[in-house]
Amino acid sequence: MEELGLWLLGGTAVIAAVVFVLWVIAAILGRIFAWVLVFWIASVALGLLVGILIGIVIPPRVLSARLSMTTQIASPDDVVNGLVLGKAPRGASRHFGWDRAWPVYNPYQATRDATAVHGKMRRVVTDAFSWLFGRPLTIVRLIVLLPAFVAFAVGVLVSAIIWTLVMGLIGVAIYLLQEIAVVSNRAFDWLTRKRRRATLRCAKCYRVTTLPSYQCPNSSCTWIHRDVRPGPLGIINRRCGCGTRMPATVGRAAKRLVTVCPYCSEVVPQGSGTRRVLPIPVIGSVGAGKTQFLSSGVVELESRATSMSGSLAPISPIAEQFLATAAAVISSGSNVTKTPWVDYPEGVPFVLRLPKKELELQLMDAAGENFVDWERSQGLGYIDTADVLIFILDPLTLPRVHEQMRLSNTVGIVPIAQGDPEDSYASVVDRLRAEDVKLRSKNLAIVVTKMDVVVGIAGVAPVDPDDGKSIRSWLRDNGADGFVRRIDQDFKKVAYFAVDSFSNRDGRDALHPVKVLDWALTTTDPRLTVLPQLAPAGKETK
Amino acid sequence: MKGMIPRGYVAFRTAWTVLHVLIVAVGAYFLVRWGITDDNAVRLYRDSMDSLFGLQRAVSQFIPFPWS
Repeated sequence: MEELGLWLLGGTAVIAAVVFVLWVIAAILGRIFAWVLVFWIASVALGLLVGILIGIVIPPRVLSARLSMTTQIASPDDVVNGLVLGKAPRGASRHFGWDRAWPVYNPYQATRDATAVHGKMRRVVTDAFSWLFGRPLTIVRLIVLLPAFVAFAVGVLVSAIIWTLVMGLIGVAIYLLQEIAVVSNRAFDWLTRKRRRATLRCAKCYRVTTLPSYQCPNSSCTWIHRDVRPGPLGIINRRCGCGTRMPATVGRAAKRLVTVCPYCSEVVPQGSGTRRVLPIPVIGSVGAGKTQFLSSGVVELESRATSMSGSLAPISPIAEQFLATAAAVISSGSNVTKTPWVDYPEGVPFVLRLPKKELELQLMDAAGENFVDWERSQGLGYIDTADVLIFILDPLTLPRVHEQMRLSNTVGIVPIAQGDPEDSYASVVDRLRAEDVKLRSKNLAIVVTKMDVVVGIAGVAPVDPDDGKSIRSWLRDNGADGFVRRIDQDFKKVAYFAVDSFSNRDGRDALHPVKVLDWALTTTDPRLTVLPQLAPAGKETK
Repeated sequence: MKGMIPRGYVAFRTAWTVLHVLIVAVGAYFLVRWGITDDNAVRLYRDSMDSLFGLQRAVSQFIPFPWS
């Protein structure tokens, strides 16, 4: 019994000793943990502070020139490849794709720079953790350093979020201001051209556009910019992929750059696309006197424009040659040489400047062979889009006039147009009808030429060149009755003229071809007259 | 062009950096000003230290020694 008591006493003492020891250990560990907790809190605060400071320093370092090489650049090649602005632009230039030019910084390069800043911050954090876990891991190091590293990562993250938010808000504000500038500049450019009714009419391919293309001003760069209007590639100016700065509006580009037709890529006269263009297609059979008519008309038009403190300037080599030849022919009183037959004759462009007015005239003088049948005239696409048509009619081909010539033995003295004038008229009008072109909205001038010859033919009634109705009646009386009726059916607005392109007449003479050109000009804009002192000539008969 | 990038890009990046520095400087200025005013920084530091060591004491006395 006593032995059992000793065992119980001994056991109790052992248990008490164990509990005591464990209690003391727990109390010591509690005190150690209390200091570890102090260290953790201090290191977390320090890690957080270092993380925030590192996050503050990284953006300027990334945006500095030294580190910008590691940033992805929104390059012109990326623009062309659709990696910056999307696959293709909208509107007229969508088939060409984006021009090879530098995009505006905000937002295209700015987002790439922000990505680079985020990437750098991510690398700093991952590098720190790689260092922590990259060597044999011990529990002590993990317990001591992990909270500080986690706090460091949180600090960098907080810094990144604040930087992204602040810069993002500023970036959005700048972007909105840029968009306002783009819309304003674009609208001003468009309205200026719209008010002038400016277009580009290519004298070679005959296509019409309001959006010309421009060559890069750098002579060693071959890139053609298809859409220079304000947009993501520039607001006031743009920078070509070669680094050359160029204007970012059609109006300013037209003054400084070489203009190119967007359809055929041929160079067109400077300023094309920023002024109104009046194409004057001249139709008529071989030998009707089309070129003689135009030569006489243009020479006098230049003289009339100069007398009104204006000018008529040729704006292409072919126009310079045409004007020089016409002036020589008219001053010498000789005949012009026949226009060579080509399927796609080049237009002859002039800029007519009158006080406060400017207009581009494009004389379209195709050889008479183009008007033999409507298949041959098919290539003359400029006729389809022209508002004014001039039909040259040789009166010597009219049956009654021709008969009087035969009776007076004057046949063969003066060259007579080949074929029936109605056939050359039909070659154009039938085609236009087949292509559903609205003829009723077009203005047609019927120009009876060679009046100097007609007045000398005995038995032919005289014509009053001041009166369009008289000319129309004269045509009907001399065998063109059916032709005149057909014209009446085809066109709503028809004017009749009688001209003498050969004699050296005064510009105010009713028989001078310049009267027809003046009619074409005033049909476009009544203020564009070069014969202000005359009553409106060639009155419309319908 | 400056190097391989347009001057506009460099100008924007410089402006971005200057703006960044300005914002940080303004933030630091207000922080320091707040710290100086009424010894806010000193009080914050003391309060933090008191809280920290108060927590340390509370944790260390959570399990007292058997003889305490």
